[in-house]
Amino acid sequence: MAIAQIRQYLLLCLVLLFAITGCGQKKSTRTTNGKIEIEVAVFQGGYGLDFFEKAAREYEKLHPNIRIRVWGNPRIWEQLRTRFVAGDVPDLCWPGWGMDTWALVYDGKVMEMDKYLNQKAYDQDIKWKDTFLPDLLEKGKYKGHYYILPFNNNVFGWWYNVGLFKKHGWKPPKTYEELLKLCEQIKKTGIAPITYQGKYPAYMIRGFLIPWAISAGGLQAFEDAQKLKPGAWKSAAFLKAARMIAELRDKGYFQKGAMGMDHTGAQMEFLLGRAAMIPCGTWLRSEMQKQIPPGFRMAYFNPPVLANGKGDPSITQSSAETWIVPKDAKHPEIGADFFRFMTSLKMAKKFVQEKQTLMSIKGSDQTQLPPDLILPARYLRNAKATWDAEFSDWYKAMNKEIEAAVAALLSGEISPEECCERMERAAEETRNDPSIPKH
Amino acid sequence: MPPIKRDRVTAIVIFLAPGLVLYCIFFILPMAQAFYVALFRWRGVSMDKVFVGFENFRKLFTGDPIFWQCLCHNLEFLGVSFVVVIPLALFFANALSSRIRGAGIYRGIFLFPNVISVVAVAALWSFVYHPTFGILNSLLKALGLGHLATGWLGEPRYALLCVIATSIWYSLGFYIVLLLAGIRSIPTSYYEASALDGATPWQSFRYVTIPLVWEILKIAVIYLIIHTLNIFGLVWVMTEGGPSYHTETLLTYLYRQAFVQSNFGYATALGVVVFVIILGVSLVAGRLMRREVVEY
Repeated sequence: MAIAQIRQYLLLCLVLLFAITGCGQKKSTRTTNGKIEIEVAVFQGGYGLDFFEKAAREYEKLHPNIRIRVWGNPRIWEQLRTRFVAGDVPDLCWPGWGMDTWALVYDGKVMEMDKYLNQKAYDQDIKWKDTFLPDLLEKGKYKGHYYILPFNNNVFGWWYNVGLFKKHGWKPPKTYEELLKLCEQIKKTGIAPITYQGKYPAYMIRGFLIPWAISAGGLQAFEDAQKLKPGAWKSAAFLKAARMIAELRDKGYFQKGAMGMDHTGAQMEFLLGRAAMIPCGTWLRSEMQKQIPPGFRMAYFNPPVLANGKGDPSITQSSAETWIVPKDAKHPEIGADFFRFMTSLKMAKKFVQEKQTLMSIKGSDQTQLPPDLILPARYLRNAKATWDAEFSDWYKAMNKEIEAAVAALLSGEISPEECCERMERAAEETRNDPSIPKH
Repeated sequence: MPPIKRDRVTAIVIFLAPGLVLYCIFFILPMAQAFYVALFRWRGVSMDKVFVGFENFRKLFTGDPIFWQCLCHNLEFLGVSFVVVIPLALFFANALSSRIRGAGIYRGIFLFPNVISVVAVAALWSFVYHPTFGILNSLLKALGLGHLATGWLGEPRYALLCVIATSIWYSLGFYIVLLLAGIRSIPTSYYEASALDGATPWQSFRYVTIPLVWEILKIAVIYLIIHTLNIFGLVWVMTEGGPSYHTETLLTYLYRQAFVQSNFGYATALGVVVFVIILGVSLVAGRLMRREVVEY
């Protein structure tokens, strides 16, 4: 074979190579027919995409020069992660629960929102930032600036089976002492008093450990732990909470085998009436929509607290699902403006009604609420303070270790004292690691 | 070089080049990159990497008890699988190689789990172990052993064994078929000769079958090592490493470090270590099983 032929052949190989690698090149055109095209990437969970698509069409009517492309899927963070690395990002996104959004903030990949938040709200005569529930907006702050914005608002507490409770004349317990008495009665009927989503200990941390630590030691006891104050995770408050969990465990008030169930499995046990109570957030109905037996009724209540506890009994847990405007977005101002539109009071109320969830916008609950949300909304309105397990987003390694400790406590492997020791050790490790940014 | 020989060399080079180039781009390069990334602290969400040298490896070996726990779980996985799978596979392969009626059907049944996706197998067995409506608990109750019923995958003592059992159920068929192919290729005249010499079935198995499938047995063992030290999907779907790390394996831990805790550099270092471990164990196993190859 002649040299020229070889050269030709190699050239062909090279061309093929470029063809392969060229597939990943991003499109340079961002406009269609002179319109500015905006990309909005949405986590497609229980709420679907339709609301955001409708909002986009409405927004386009108001801004004829803009075209908004909404797309999403249930594991959107997997796509977004590589796109963030490459710097080719959407103009607005809801990255979903699988994304380490704080890592994006630390690496400077999230737009600082202060100047946008100081704009006027979409349909009210106040600043945009004053339309949010302050507790939820403040969670997205880092080093004095706003980055992560709240959208829908999840209230987390306990749910009880209304039909079952009515039949036996039981009342949802307000105090831990009442809970113990009630559990004894429920247990006698052969039904498990409480079940939990054992595979995911976050439910037990948010449903048992922290509410009881706050009840025993006040909100500060939890905030100290969250801020990694030395000794806070093994303080008297957390020890008391761990002991309460151990007491319920030892008295057999938790459903047998709950540790081996995932979230939908445990929730199914609750829906089938095999367990009377379960900790969960306000997404419970939309998550289990297809499996809820006809005629089944459930209702929310705050976790029962100690009768003489230090923490205010009205304290309620509320957290938000969050959106960000990427720093490298082509049109961050439009992305931010579209989010301002979606968080207007009108749109927020619409979201509450259509998607059966509360929103992070003040006054958005002043509408015809779906039955399951009436009580959570009332608890939230009457709450003297709210809290959220923010450490689980800030300090992922510590969170995992705390989950492991609580799981070990629930399965009876360790004592409450050992559980607290283990949690404190995890906090200490994070505290002493300079590579982990602190809040 | 004579022209004909030169032509042959060019032809070989030309036919090898595309494969080699693609292999380099898609295998060698990413692997080299992995070794490189392991030297950094990297969150994996941007191009910001901090060079930390061998810090990730130091932390892995000296400051991370979970890593050792994971390694123990993987070795337990390997040990139990080895003790159960290899003898069982040999037994069934030997049984199926004889001309018993319906051998083909049995072969199909044994191989069947292997063609289902791992995720489906994991989901299926999660239901078998389910605390309230699982078949296992129902079976125990039917046998009057109701007191043994428990939430298997949530029980620290049993969770790992339950996952291992599923893995064995899943992979046994593959080893049977592998060994069966080896046994089938042994000329029947050897068995006839040993029978004429008065060998019992056990003796012909021990002195004819085993030596002649030894090379394939070696492959099976090395494959088992790779499979059990690399186990991920099954564990992740069934338990996600829980309850409290009792089923955490090297790769579930790697995945958690990378994709949950955003420690890509650390996870990559772990990946490199797992690579070395698998290579080492496979080499040792190969050395231990070395014996003179019997030609036939």
